[in-house]
Amino acid sequence: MSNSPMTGKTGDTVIGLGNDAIARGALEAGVHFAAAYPGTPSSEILGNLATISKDAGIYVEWSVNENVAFEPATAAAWTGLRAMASMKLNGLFVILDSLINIAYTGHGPGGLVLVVADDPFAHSSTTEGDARPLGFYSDIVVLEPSTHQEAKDIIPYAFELSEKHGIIVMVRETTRLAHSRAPFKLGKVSKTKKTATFDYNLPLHNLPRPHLRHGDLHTRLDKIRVEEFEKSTLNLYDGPPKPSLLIITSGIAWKYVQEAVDLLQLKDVGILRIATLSPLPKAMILDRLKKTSEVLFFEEVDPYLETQIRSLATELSSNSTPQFFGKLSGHVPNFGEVDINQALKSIAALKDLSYSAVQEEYVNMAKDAPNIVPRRLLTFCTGCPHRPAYYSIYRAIKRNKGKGIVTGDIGCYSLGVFYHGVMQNQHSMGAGVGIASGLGKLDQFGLKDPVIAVVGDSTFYHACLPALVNIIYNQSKAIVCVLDNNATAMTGFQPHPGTGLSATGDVTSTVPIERVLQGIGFQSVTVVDPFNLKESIDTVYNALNSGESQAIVFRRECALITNRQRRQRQESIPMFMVEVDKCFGDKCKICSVEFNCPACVWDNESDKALIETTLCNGCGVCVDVCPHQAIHPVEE
Amino acid sequence: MKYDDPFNIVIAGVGGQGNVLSSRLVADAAIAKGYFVAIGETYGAAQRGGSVMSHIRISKHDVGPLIPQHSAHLLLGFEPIEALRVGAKFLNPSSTAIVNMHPVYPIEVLTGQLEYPPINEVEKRLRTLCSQLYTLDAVDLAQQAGDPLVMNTVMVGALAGAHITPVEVNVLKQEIAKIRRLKDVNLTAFNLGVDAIRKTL
Repeated sequence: MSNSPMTGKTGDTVIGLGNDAIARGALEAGVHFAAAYPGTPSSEILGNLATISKDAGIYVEWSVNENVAFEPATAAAWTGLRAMASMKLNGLFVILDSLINIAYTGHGPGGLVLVVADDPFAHSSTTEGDARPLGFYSDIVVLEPSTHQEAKDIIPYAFELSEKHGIIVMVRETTRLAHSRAPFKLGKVSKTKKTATFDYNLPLHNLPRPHLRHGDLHTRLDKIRVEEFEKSTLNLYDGPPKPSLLIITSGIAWKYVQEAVDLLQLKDVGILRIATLSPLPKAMILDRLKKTSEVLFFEEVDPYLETQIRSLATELSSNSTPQFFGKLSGHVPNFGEVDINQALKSIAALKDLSYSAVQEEYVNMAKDAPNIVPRRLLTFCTGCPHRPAYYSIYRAIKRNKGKGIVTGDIGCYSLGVFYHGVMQNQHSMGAGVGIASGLGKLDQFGLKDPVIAVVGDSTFYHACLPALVNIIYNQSKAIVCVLDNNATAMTGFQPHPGTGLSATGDVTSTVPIERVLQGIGFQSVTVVDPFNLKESIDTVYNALNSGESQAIVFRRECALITNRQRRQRQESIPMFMVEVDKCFGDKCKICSVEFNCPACVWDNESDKALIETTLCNGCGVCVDVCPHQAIHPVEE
Repeated sequence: MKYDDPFNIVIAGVGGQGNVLSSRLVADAAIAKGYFVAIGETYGAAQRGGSVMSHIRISKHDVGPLIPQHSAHLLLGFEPIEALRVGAKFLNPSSTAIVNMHPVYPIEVLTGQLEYPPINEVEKRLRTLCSQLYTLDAVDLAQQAGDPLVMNTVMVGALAGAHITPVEVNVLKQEIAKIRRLKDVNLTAFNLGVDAIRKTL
């Protein structure tokens, strides 16, 4: 394998993720303080910094949520340090209040860089969105790299800009850059020793006249536009001086545009890649607009450049205003991600060309070929404790004549929506508990169905505390089920306040979930092992109609973590098998259809259940699931 | 031998099959030979049994991470229906496909809600989409090597054995030798993959 981006030497060329490049860039910039909450596609940034934090003398933490990642980073910047907070787009939504307040105040003498990773197409998210207009709205600087090399090199520049002009700098990336791999050359790691000092005279508030600070922010942004961005070499133009078509783009979309123009063999097209997205280099852009008659905006997800530049173009005289094409004109879809195929399609359409790598006959055949292919729904890993936890809730609700509304939100446990549809709603972090708080107060309007909020351990600390207090304070009848698998699993098994470990792997204080619930005022807090199926089903069933404020903590470690540790200790994974004579075959099928574990397959030849040993993770819950005691552990 | 630039390889499989590791092995081998390589992948929910796809682009220049439609030179299918799902989008009449024919059933097939198509029909349709199709049971070969986990290394061996990429067998073998976990098992698996294709040539 090639050298690691974090430990490689100056001048080495390494292959790594866009996120590896950003983390390396932070190291080269001499970052002192880094905080983040896990969120795809941003998590590797902090993960990488954690691996070298001790050697490099950097403070690195997984914070409980993005607010308490951004605010501590701000504090560090106030004392003169270089601080970075990284997050997925939804994290930006979470910090918006804090961000705008702090943008007005400024972050003091240090540097403050915010890395936001968008997820066009929502590959690993519940919404897709665009940080660029939010950065513009928040009156901060927005930069966006297009390549891995740029992703690294832009971080030291972002810090310099932040310190020089006293403005928060956002570096925006998308999934296709964050999670793609490409080579980049490493630079020198800066080893600036810095002492944090608190200046008691620094005015760190917006009162008494916040509107004046707002005005001042605009003045500083315009200064950056004039002094830094109008002539910035980060904004690249390639093409003839007066192209017939000008394509304006940012981010990784630039690579798609370049390849498309190359494949279409177009000579009269100019490509303007803007990396300084806010404040926009207006004069430079107007100058380019005057030299063309057609402009195509190729960006994702929102028509940010398109709307800003169309608005800017009103300053042109009518005969020098080009025609504009993009999402607003329907030439590029206004949802989903853009890619090389869309670039080919959009550009070819404007040039009256049709491009296809293959003949139409092949296209038609290829369109029909996969129509026998079934979809692949997401499910819990084999051995996952969430499966028996949901199975217990499912069985308890069934026993309760089908009455039981299950609310939820984000994590591996989100997959409850695909598990017999047990989870009814699935929205942002903590939404499940908030919604349950509301549903639990509707009995005065006739809604008497019991309500269960399902929430993961990491989400519990991240977003649920106010909603839990609300349930007790406003006496809502909601039941809270915490699925504690001892990790922030979906994003890559990061630690959290319940795990006892910090980002750097050190032992740290824990905040036990059941103590928090008791402290908030839940009268009954029961901890059960979801692998203990009967106890789990009974606990949920009893809670459904108990009438008192109930919390159940399903505690069992994530199967993937358990098995990783087993492999490290060279312990074998327990194995299980079906005793074919005791299996009721298709008169039952409870293990595969109802419990729904991917390792409980159906042997079509014998028409009996079969444990697929290459898939099984050894949880053994199927032993209790089978009503005919047909499943046994395999003796060593 | 002259290769198209970029040379495009797409790997299609199910989360957890070692898709990502395989793409890195191939990429590292290409880089060792002086190429620029871009790998486009998506993961996050992939581990949870979802479809995964890696795009590997081998070039002399800086290229984007995604292969255009119908522009893959080689498809490595870690699973039959994933090979067909992805092949229909990326193969063309001159492509080669190397497919492991050992199914991984989607959860809805396990519950009986959906049907897994007959494997010979999957193979038949794959053949109509490319110029050359190699099939093998990579799980079986991995078990012969000593661990079903190394199925992905068998497939990398098969890629090497087909001799159509800019990356030669010995260069890939050097990358395999750098793997620390299950080192000997991996080397055996690689060689079994190479032989599986050589036998059919």
